[in-house]
Amino acid sequence: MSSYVPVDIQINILKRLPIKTIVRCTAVCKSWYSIIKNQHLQKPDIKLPSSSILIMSFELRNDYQNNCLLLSQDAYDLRETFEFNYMSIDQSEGLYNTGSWCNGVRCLSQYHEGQLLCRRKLLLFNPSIRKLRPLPLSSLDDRIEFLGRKSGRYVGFGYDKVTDDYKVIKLYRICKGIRSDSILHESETWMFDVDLEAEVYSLKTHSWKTIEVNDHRYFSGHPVSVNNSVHWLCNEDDGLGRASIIAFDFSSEAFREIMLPIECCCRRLFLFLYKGSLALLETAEVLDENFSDELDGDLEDVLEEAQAEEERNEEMQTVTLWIMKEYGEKVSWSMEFTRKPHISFDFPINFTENGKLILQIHDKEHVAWDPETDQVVNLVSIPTDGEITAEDYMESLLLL
Amino acid sequence: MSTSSSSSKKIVLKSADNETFEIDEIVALESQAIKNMIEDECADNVIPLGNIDSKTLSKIIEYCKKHAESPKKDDNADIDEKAVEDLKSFDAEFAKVDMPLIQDILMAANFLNIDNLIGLMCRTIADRIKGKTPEEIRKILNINKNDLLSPEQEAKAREENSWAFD
Repeated sequence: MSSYVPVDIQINILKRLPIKTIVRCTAVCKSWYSIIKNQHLQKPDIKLPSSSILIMSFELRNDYQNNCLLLSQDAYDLRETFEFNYMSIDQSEGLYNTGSWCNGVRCLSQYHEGQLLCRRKLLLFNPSIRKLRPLPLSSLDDRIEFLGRKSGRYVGFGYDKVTDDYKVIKLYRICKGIRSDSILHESETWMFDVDLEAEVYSLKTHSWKTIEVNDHRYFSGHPVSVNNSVHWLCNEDDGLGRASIIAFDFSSEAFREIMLPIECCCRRLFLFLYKGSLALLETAEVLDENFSDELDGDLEDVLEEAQAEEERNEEMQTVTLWIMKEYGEKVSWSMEFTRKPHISFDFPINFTENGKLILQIHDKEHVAWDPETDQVVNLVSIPTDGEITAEDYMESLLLL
Repeated sequence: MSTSSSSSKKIVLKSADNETFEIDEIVALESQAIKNMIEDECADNVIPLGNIDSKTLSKIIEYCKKHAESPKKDDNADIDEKAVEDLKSFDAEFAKVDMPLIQDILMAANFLNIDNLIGLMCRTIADRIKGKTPEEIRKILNINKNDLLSPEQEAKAREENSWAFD
């Protein structure tokens, strides 16, 4: 190929290749090295149908490897498996999932036993090109370390289409223990001041900056990245434990609230992406009347409760899915389905592109459940005792 | 339908090696560049194409003729599947030429701004290098010497993503 071939033509050829060949093409010639490395092939708006489901398993194993499995979308048979190694990146005992996933890239956290949360580096991982990139620690991390151990961290990762940048938001819930030495108190007392502090990382600048948060609520569950924003379920501060959605917009770098279609507490709610829309899944157990009466009895000895627990697991579970048809419009929430799966499960993991729900059932087994037909397909056994994630596999050159 | 009243109007294209090709205007309009020239009335009877040789130009005309004759997707929502299949197999046959000619057609199609043909040639090139090693790709495409990586640069590129070179 002659060197006078216009760049847009070269991109037109390269973008038609499978990702492995694209990566190999960095070793073909100078112009392709620079075109591919300079991210000219990134097209986050174009989503091709995904042919595989990516399962990642997280286990703090001593060989510093975590597993990725690719399963076919239709039959859930194993297509490919690979491990990712991060010893070369950073000394750490393991990696765990922060729960945030966007355009084929996942945000992870380093783990080291005994290490403070704020000392655990966040990393971006692109499984399609096996690339891990650690994010730098920040001044907020240093400050949290100074303030002490009582803190929690929420992490959200997403795409800002305005600046064509990928960003990570990191929030710390800081419980500052303040010792009151007031003479009015005979014994020393402790007061707890709860605060949220946040920083946003930009992949383009590879640095963090502070942003304002005026919120004290507890975020819950894994966040969902869609429509320029990352979303968490959170509990209202009203003492009733009512839930709503808090969204952080990566372009305006501001928070806003999205109302739920139902009044419910977070415990049985899950946020997902369902066929491109923000979706809320509610699970509930259906108890029969006799069973409820027993629970109302005055005496509840341990044995009875254990039995009740067992029976509860035998009970039917309902699964209800709500979809936000028009993003941001509360009135557009609509109920997609409510079903009683014939199997019992521990918790839902994620929806796949074709509308199947991956569930974790007892004994760490996993199934794909079809809400339409109530059919269940077992997934291959996943060799881990740790957490697993499942999502539509997406090829991306981010971080190359 | 596609051969309308303008079918009588002729356009003459002249290749770099001074060969002339007389074609229906409707065929020439497959090229967005020629279409613009005609609309801007800056096209004389003969359009000189100083950077396209006759071998390449005759292939391009063959392609444009076929595509001008075929019903366009936006003409009619329910064009019959047979026409689509027919065009597909024409494209497949059309692309069965050697790599230097594919590259010449691609450059000419880019100059003449024939979108479908650019896509077809890019897809053909991609299909031929898919799954190949860097050495094989360089050979297939006859990469220009000035564009080659130094041994150190190539080693670095391989090192950065060693998993892809297994």
